[in-house]
Amino acid sequence: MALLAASLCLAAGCTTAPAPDPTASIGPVRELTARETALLHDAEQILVRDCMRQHGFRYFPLPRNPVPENRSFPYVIDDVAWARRHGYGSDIQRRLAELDEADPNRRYYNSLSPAQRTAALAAINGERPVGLSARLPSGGVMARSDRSCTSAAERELYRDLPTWYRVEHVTDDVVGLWRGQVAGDPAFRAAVGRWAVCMREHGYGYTSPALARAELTRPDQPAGRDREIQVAVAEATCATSTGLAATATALDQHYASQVRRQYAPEFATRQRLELAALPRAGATVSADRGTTTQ
Amino acid sequence: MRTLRTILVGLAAAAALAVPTSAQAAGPTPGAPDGGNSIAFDGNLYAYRDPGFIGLCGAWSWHSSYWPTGCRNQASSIWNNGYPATLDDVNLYWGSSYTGAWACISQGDYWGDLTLGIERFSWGAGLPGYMEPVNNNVASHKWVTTCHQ
Repeated sequence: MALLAASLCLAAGCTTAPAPDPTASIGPVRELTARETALLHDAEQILVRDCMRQHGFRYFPLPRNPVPENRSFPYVIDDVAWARRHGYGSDIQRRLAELDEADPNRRYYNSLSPAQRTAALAAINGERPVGLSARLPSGGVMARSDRSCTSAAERELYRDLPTWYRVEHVTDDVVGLWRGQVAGDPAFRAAVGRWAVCMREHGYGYTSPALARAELTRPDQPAGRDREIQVAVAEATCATSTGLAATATALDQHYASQVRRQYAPEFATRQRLELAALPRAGATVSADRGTTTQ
Repeated sequence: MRTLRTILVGLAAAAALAVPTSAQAAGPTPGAPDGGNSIAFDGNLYAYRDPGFIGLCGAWSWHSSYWPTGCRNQASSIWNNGYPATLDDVNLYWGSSYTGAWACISQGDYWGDLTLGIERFSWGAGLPGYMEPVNNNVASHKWVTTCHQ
């Protein structure tokens, strides 16, 4: 895979010179496991609930993945079995909308008086979106209140809330940037061209997976479930047979690695804060289990 | 299309927002937005024609595939003051009917001054509008599970 990425990089005319590691002085960090990420989520939800309770409101912790089949295919659907079940995922979107309508927090909020709603909203989001800010690599400054139950929960877990807010937003934001670099790479565009030829052979005239998805998921012109699935299955089949899926994966790894080097201090700081928060998260979840099982 | 005067008024309001006054520190006056600079507290996505909560032009508790005239392609500050639920983050789309590239704004987050022109539709590479400025350019929005894509 490294060889493939290197050759793609040559095709794209980029450089591969290793950048100095600016994280060296921060201390050892690593990616979190899926279990650890779930633990942080669960702990934050418990802390938000406790904070809302202190303000006199009920709060029902939100699951991290309310519909586990919900998957993101940022470049192209490459799982034929998934496409056969879900098409472009309109069934999953419907399910999420149903869950949202029945969401206990939504129902609780709607049951409150206008004055109580105002107070509940101020408790969860803060009275004004000021106090925290992050300059995004894609441009602009995002801001949020530092006086809210969301912020209180994150402060309890990560301690340095302003830094947490900034590095979380920066590291999430750059994903969109490297995906743009992938989409602009000549190797990706060539693979999309092969994919479009394959799609024509299946009877579909879409010139890119992005445009196919846009067309098939238009709310004002529903494609119909059968057609949605047929096109999605063709998309996934062609993604594999033309090498688009493999090219996209290799380029994603290449550009992700480049951007992660560029923003190494932010990624390292995020990991450092997350790793330091794990014991606190574990204690929060354990204490809550002890309380709820008594 | 906004005039230079309204832009200057907006910038002044944004400056006021960035440095809270004692009145602001005591908290805003809650209630329904009035199209002026009041702060809205009923769990919606809010769009304003000018920076800093000035000129409310849209408030939505659900998706909108076609922002109304006067707000569509004219919003210069946007606040997700939604309440936590399954769908509580918001994708802001370049095109109507959730088409084209998008930006995402998490629950509680606020874009206070889009007139600087540096905020971009940074998701949806390969779609129309990708990396174009968000200012005066949002046409539709959809509530989603997360901005962490």
